[in-house]
Amino acid sequence: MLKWERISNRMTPTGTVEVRVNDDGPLGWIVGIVGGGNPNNVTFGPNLIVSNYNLDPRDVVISHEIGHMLQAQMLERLGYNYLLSYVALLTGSHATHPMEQDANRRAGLPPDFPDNGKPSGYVSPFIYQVRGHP
Amino acid sequence: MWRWIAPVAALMLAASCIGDPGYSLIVQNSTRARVTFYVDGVNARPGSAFADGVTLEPGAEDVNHWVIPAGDNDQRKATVRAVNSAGSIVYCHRFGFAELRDLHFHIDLRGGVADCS
Repeated sequence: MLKWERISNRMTPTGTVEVRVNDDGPLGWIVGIVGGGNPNNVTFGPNLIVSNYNLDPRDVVISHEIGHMLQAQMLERLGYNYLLSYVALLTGSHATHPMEQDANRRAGLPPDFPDNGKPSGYVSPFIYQVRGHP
Repeated sequence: MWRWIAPVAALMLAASCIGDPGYSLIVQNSTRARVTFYVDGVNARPGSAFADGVTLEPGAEDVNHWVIPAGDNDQRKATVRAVNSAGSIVYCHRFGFAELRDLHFHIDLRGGVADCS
């Protein structure tokens, strides 16, 4: 388990999020199930990202998940549940899901990320610190 | 935990393949020279590090997010190909998911490995 602290978009501090890596608890199991049994990563809200596999803190997908985290913050301020909002908009593929595309836009990634991995020369718009679980 | 149960149940009922697939993979240059490596067989487009290549100094490493091969049931293989500054292939190997897992998702680019042809 890792903690990402002082996440910011270089303009606005946004707080702390817990990132569970190789999670073998109930949420990790769920992440695997909804990922078709494959390695998968899910943002569960503004404070929690869960991966059922290895997730390096330098992985570009972290920036994408921070994009989801910012969505969750915004939606919950408006009184909506992030995960239910995600399901309500669930049409088509991952690459065409509006919340996936929005998370990519926030992270400065192509709309269909992670299909092509990291863009050449990618620099995350987010600044974050990583701390191991105490 | 409880506040997630209803949404998570809805997620599970709605569909599979939710979330952001893939895993972190580290490629390290364990040769004594600068190399540029490419990843083939992953449907990469120009503009991606897989297609455009990543140049690594000796000892340096790169982290990327891989979605192919997707998991144990995916038979596809990704080819990691590295060239030196003269453009000669110094490393080439095809990786299935099981092999990547056995390597703890850490590939060492080292001389004498060129078994793609």
